[in-house]
Parts: sequence; structure tokens; C-alpha cells
Amino acid sequence: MTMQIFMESIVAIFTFQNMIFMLAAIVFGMMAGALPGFTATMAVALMVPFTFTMTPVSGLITIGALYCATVFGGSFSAILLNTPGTPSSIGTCFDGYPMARQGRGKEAIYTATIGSGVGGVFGTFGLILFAVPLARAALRFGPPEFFWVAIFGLTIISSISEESLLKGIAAGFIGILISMIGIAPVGGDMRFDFGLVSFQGGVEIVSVLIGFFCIPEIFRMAMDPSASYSDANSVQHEKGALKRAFNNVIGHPLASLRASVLGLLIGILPGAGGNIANLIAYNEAKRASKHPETFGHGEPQGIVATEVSNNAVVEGAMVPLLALGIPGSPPAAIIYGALLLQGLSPGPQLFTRNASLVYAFMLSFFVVNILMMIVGFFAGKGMYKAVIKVPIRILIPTILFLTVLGSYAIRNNPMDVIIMFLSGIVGYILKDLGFNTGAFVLGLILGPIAERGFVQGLLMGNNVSMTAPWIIMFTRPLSIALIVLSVFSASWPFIRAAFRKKKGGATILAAALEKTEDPSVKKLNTDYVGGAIILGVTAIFFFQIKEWSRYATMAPKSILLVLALFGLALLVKGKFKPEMIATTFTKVSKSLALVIVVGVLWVFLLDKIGFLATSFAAFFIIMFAFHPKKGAQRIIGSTAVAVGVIAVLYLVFVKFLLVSLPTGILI
Amino acid sequence: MKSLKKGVIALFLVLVVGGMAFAQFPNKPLNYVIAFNPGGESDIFARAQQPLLEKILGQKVIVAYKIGGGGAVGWADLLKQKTDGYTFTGHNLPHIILQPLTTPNAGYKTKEIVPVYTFMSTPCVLAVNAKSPFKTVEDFVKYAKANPGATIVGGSASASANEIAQKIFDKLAGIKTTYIPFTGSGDAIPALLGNHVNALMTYTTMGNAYEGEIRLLAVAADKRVSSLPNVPTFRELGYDLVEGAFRGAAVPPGTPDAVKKVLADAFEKVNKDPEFAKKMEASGFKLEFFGPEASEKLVDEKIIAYTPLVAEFKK
Repeated sequence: MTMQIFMESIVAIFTFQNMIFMLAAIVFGMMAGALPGFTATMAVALMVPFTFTMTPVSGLITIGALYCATVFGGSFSAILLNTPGTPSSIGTCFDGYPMARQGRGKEAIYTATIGSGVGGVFGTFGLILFAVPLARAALRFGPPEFFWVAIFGLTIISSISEESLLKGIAAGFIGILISMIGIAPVGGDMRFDFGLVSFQGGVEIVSVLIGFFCIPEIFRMAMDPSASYSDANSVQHEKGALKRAFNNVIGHPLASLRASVLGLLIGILPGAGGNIANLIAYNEAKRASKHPETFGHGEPQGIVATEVSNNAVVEGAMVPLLALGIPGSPPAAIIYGALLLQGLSPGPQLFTRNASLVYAFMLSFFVVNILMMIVGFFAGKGMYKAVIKVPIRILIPTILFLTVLGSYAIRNNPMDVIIMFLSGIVGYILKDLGFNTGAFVLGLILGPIAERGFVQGLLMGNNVSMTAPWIIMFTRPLSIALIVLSVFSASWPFIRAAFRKKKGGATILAAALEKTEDPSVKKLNTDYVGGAIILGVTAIFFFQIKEWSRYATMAPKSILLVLALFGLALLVKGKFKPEMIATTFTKVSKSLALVIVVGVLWVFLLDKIGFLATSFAAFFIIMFAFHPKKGAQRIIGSTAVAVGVIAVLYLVFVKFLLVSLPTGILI
Repeated sequence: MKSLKKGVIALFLVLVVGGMAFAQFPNKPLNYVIAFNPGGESDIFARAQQPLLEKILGQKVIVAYKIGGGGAVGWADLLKQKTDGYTFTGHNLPHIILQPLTTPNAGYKTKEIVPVYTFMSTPCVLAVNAKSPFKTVEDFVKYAKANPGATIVGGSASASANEIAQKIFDKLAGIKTTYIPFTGSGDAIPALLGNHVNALMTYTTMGNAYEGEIRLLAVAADKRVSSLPNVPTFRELGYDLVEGAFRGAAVPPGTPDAVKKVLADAFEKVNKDPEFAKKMEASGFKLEFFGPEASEKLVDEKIIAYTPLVAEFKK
């Protein structure tokens, strides 16, 4: 980049108009990102028409700002509500929400804010300095490599489910199996649709995420609606939150660097994005940590890893787009379209023909990420206060309404809302049985990438050998490197455990003793129950297999075989070395039962009776039941809150985010 | 006199009421549903149409996505919409023909997707990496003949125009290539640039964007495409291959003809906007002008053409 282009670009960025556009996009993006179910893709798609009226530079800068802010905004709901606002913030829930419950929500939000900004700035450096060589290198990833990348991602299961590896892997495979519902990547066969047209689009990951992460928390709150949001005295923790947050990020420069490099590299790979990057970064942070056992219980470094990495993904995704015209992520695909409609042809020649535009766009990411941090401090503080101050009894129906709205908005499909709530109930039970829902989600996200890579790889293998096309999966240098990495990653927990034992197993022993303290509590042999569930699911899916084409049948059959083996293994383990857990899901308080019944009716009647009518009814019933007062005050109070909350969120979604909500018999 | 007066009033009323009924559509925002991912050909085109449609129809046009099952989810959903014309969905040939033919439960029948207009097409092109030894279609055919089955051709999705074109070309050239479906035209490009496939059967829209990186060997159109004047047609080279994807907008069956006409006129006006036309043709889109009847005729012709092909390829 010559000095002249650099100066031109700087001048192009710092106009008053651009600053206003950026700020507006950041505020809008944060809000959209914080709403569960509203992803970066949708936000960017919504903004594109507005950018047509702008100059190409302003339009691009605005879209870029929006993309960054949406990814960042997802951390708010992850921390405060245990709901990843976008799939890029899944890992942020793991430690962010425990921190919020411990009264350290402010620190968590500030950490996410600084982390996101730092990740974005790191990513921008990478984008500007290495765009072209990195984009060329990414091209070497073909189908076989993508298969192994997915496998590498799946090895995270071994480290997040150390308590019961068998159950963790089984949960991962069930996730993969569920991801196969819908159209086959090769052959185009409709698989496992159970005769329902609404299943043809497959199971929407975002709906399942909302269900798995958020609904169990709503249930927990509903067990006792008069309890308070956080356990500890939050006022005490609020002091010095900003300082601690700075220290969490800036005080660990290596951690931030590692997470941003991972984010950048994964973002560059077309087809892999923030949803995978944040989980891999989380896992690597845990692996590198001196005290990995704190992860999952409110470790700020967990947030640093996920939020730094997912914002570096944004710039990473721009690398192939700007260098080669290949969109590396769904939002980048929309930006590709926007470039095209601006009359610029995105492609390798963009750099040479429109150099100052490209550099202005890339440099604007610096400005955006810094502005985003500033806005984020205020927005985060406000949201935190709002959630803390609202009583649990109002929080319950409000969050529930958000989950319904969000899971519908993602694809305008009422089936997604049903799947969301049902997976919430399933997730609530499975967690109690010792199954790791994170493992399931990994399977759901990585399953399609693995299957596509495998089957496309096999077809590609014809080029190498017509008789043994599978050999291609093992012969390419990059594939071999990825295989080595996967093996290392999968066995790391065992390697570490072996190290620990040598150093002294006292702490592990103490933990084991703690588990067996109260013999009077009735415990369940969760291996028996889990094994039976897995075999049941396997059978149900097995009988759905129809006469599909060869390449569409291969992967489902192998997965089912493995699952059956794991189901049997769990039964055997249950006989000899069972994992006994004192389950709590069987104890349902009256208030929880009410929420479950209302929730089920709500999601099933949504498109039949109408969105507004069912939402108001459900909201009102929950509000009324949990209201501490009696008589007229109770009715008026419940109605007012129900109307208020629904009206505000309805307007936001329908008028502002242009989601069309279903109307049934009523409204 | 009185009766004349009455007659005039009656005529006036008929005109006003009739005119109002006609002018009534559209009097509220319209939903333009896209059954594919944002950023794909359908979406890009719709986004370009959106501001012009709003100007012509005088109402907001909201682009919404109903994605899944290679478009099937969006089209199955169209059948559930009101027949008032306020919701229309982008349709895609050959998708709406091939899906019901190949899947037992597609959720819709081809003839239930009623086209109001077919506004563009993207002919298929055979593309190779710019560094590939294949300079002409003949080079490619020669290689494929020497390496039956081991020549890999990528494309967008299964049961798509790309796959059909690849199959027909195999037959015409007497070769056997292996087809790899990718999740979209954009997803297939890295596979070609990274040399993971020997060639791509893709669309004309990819031609200009990757100038210098990929080489187009031939285009499956009846005559040369304006944005790619140097690329010969397959017919010029002796292969009778004309294949591509047609895209338009459709409404549920039972929508009044008057409403269909309003929409069709609007789409036609958009296509005739000189600035719009210039921009879209430069991007590799071929503008088409099929009204409601012509579109249905096109669908009927394609059904006749595709049905035996599907039966043949299924074997």
C-alpha cells in the first residue's frame, strides 16, 4: 500500500457522515446481536438496501460496522441470559453466565467488550498485512481438509466432557445425526423428514441453541420465581469491574493473540466461521490454562477466548472476499452482493482497480472496533442493570417471549419454535443425566461440514484411485497435519490427567470424596437410562432410512452404527461401573409445571391462533400466577406488563427488523 | 334525461369502483420471499429489483428469506399464503420441476407454483482454472476420454441446472465425468481456484467476477452472452447443449389474474430500466421477459424436457 492510497483511504473514512453511519450501525448491530435468533446474516441483509443510497465507501463501512457489532452484541445475551445471541457466542455462555450469577456480570460484560474490540483490531492487522497470501493458502483446503477440520473441532468433546467421555461422544454423534435431517449434501435426497414438510429445511441450529441454553435457565428460575437473579451480593463485585476487565484482556496479551489468530484463520476458511472459532478458541484457552478446572465456573479467560476470536473472524471472513472475491461466511456473501450492486465486481481485480476503496474498508475496521468498545461500555452497563433490576417473575415471561420471537424470526418457520421449546425440555433432562449439551451442539454444527467434506472427498478421490477413492483422505499433506492435530487434541485430557497424577492426585481424590457424601439421596443409574435413550433414538432414525442414493446413505448409516455401539457400551458400563446421579428434573415445582404447560401450548398454537393472541395470553398467565399481590392490582399489573413488553418487542421485530409474524384465527 | 343522468352516474360509479378495485392493489407493503441464502443469485437480483419495485408499485417491498431444502421449504410455504398477491416467492427453474420429480415428498407440485413473471436466466458455463492445461472444450474432452470417471466436475447442488448440464454434456461428448455438488455457486469457486476439481459447470454470473483466475471454455446458451463475448457457445463447438437456470416470481394458485398482471407489469418495467439492465447484464445475468402465460408455457416445455432425463439419470 502506497502512502498516497493510505492517505486517500483515511480521508475517505473520517467524514462526519461516515461517523454517523458507523455509530448507527453499531447501535443497531448490538441490539440485533443481543436478540437471540437475530444473526449477523439477517442484520446485514436488512441493512444492504439502505447502503444503495450511499457512496460505495460509506456503504461498505456501514455494513462492516454492523457485522462487527452484531457479533459482539451476541455476548450480552450469552452473559446475562445464558443464550448465545448469535452462534458465535456459544462459548461465552460457559463462563459468562456463571459470572453473572455470581454477581460479576458487569466484569463479564466489560471483558467481552474489551475482548471483542481487541480481537477486531488484531484481526484488522491480519487482514491488511496478510490478506492476499492468506487467501491463497486457504484455497489449499479442499473437501478432505474440511472433513478433518470438522473432526478436529469435534475433538473438543473429549475436553468438555471429562466426567463421562462415553456420554459426551454419544451426545456429539446424536448432534451429527440430527444435523442430517433435511436435504442430503450429495444426491439431494430428503432424509429423516418423518413425513413432515417443515423438516425439509433441517433443524435450525439457532433454535436448538436457544432451547438448550436458555430454556433450562428459565426452568430453573421458574422453580422459585421469588428468588433473585444472582446468588452473591453484586454491588460488592461491581466495584472495580472495569479495571478487572481490562486486566483480564490486556493483562493476558498471549491469550488474546492466540484467540485472535485462531479467529482470523478460521474466519478465512470459506464455510467455517464464528460458530466454530469461538469453541475452538475456548478449548485452546482451557488447554493452555494452568487451572483448567476453573473453566465453566466463571473463568474470565473463557470469555476473552470466545469474544476475541469471534470478532477476529469478521476480519478473517473479509480476507477471501477482498483478495479473491470468495465470500468466507454468510454475511460476507451478502457483502459480495452489495459490492456487485454498487457496480464493483468483487474478485481478484478489486484490489488493483479499487485500491483506495478496499483499503478504506479495511482500515475502517480499526475505527469501528474502537467505537464499538466505547458504545459497548454504555450499552452493556445499561443492559446489565436492566436485567438485574427486573424481578425474576417478570424476567421469566419476557425471556420466554424473546425465545419464541427469536426462534421464529430466524427462518419464519413455526416448526423452529416448537423444536426450540422441546429441545429446551430435552436439554433440561439430558443435562441432569450427565450428557453434555455442548457436545451435542458441536455435533450439530460440525456434522454437516464433516459429512460434506467426507462425501465430496470420496468423489474427488476418483481422481486418485477409482478402486479406493477413500485413500485421498489420508494422503494430502494438509490432511495429515490435521489428523495429527486431531489425535493430539482428542488425547490431551488423558495426557494431562497422567501428568497430574504424577504431581499428586490429592485434589482429585478430595473431589471424588465430596461426591459420595450423602447416601440418603436417591440416585439414578444414568448410564442405564442414557444407554436406553441412545438405543431408542438410533432405532427411530434407523427405521426412517429409505431408498436413498449411495452417497446420501453412507454417513447416516455409519453414524447409526457407532451410536448403537455407544448405547450398548453405556449399558455395559451401567452394569459394572455406573455413574449414579441424584437427578433433579423429576422434582417439578407448581410454578415450573405452569411454565412448561403454558410454554408447550404457546409454541403449538402459535401459528394456529395467532402470534399476538397466544403471546399475550401466555405472558399474562405467567405474570398473573407469579404476581405477589391480590385482586384488581394483580390483574391490572399483569396486563400492563404483558401489553408493554409485547408491544415494545413486537414493534422492534415487526416494524424495525421487518419480521413477518404469523397470524392465525385471531391475531 | 333522468335515465341518462342515472346512466352517467352508474357508468361513473362502475368506472370509479372498478378503477378503485384495480388501484387497490397494492395498498400495503408486499413480501418478496427468497427461498435461498442471502448473497446467492436470487437474492442479489431481488435486492437490485427491490428499490425499483417500490417506486413502481408505490409500496414497501420487504425481502424475506424462507430457506431450506434447496428451496423446497420456501415453495411449500408459498402454497399456504393468501392468494391476494401480497406475498410472492422467487421461483427457479429447473428446481421447481426437478424437486417434485426426484423427491417423493417435496411439499408442492410444480404446477402449484404459479409464475407471474420470469425475469432472468443464467446459462451454464464450463469453467476451468486459468492455469489449467485445458484451453478448449476439446482439450477437456480428450482428457476426460483418457481418464473415465477420474475427471472431476464441480457444480452447485444436486438435481440442479449444473448437474443436468454436466450429465447431458457427458452424453453428447461420450465421456464419463464425476460430478461433485457444492452448496452454491459461490462455494464451488474455491474448489476450482484450489485445484480440487478439474472443472466447474457453473453459471455465467461467475464469469466476470473471477476474470484472470478462471477460464470459461463454453457457454450453454443458444447464442453468445453479451457479458462474455469471447466465450463460444457449446452449439458453435458442435454440442447441442443449451441449459441454465431461469428465475422469476410466483404466487399461490388461485391468485386473481388482475393482481398477477400488476406484478408482472412491475417486474417488466424493472427489467426495462436501462441502468438496472446495464448493471445486471454486466454481472452476467441474462434478462428475460416471460409474462404469466409465457412463463407457464416455459415451465410446461421444461417439464417435457426434464422428465425423461430424470428417469434416465436415476438408473
